[in-house]
Amino acid sequence: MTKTASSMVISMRLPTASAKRLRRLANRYGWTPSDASARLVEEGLRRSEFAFIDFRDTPAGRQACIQASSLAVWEVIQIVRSYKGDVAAAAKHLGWAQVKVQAAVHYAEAFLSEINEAIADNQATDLVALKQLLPQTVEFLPKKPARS
Amino acid sequence: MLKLLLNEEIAPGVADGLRRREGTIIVAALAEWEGGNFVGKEIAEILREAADQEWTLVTYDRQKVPLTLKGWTEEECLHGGVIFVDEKNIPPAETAMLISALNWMHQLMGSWEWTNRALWLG
Repeated sequence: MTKTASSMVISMRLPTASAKRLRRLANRYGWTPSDASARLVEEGLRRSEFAFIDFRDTPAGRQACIQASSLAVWEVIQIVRSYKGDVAAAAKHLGWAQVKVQAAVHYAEAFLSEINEAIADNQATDLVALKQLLPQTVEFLPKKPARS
Repeated sequence: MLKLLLNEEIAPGVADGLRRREGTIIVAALAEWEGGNFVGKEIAEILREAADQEWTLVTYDRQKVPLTLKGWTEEECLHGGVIFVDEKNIPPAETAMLISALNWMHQLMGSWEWTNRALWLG
């Protein structure tokens, strides 16, 4: 999740136990407690403002995901774009209700750069980058089948 | 022997299409695998169960999956094999193209031992 450029200070009173948990969480991610609370508030706001959106720890950092699915929002958008923006076709592809795919689209509209960055990151892991991460990787080029 | 587990971003219809083409192929979409219990689970959990049951994951995810497996490789933990599909050559919407590519790959490499293999399907 990217941080917004401008900010304002809001002080808040937390129970001691919560403050300790916040510090532990911040330490885990290498954030300051202030950073951690700002991120949690932002995630909480997005969860309450956008249907079907959840946040999850992934090896690539915390990502916006679709509830009851293993997919991050950027993965759903990659499918939608593959269908040239046809939400109904993407929903059929996934076997999901259309409203769930629409929720991902709305989230992506609101946080476009975040989603585009994640998709670009995925695409940047080409064969060369993949071999660097997983040295056993080999390439297989199937004979070109006829396009559907 | 190759057993294909299609990650959630791949249309479950791809599994049906592969079965129609080649009756002996062992393939499952994540939504049907293990009664759908792994839908919504973290990728590490899916990969762990796939490794235990010797299933090879087919995925378009080149962000979370390789980063997870990099750590496993360094720790000498085995996985069930992964097939990374290149979305530039086989876009997710082109399910017929993916069915053909996987079917062809299965014909050539279906009898291989897939533990710890990583394949770029371009």
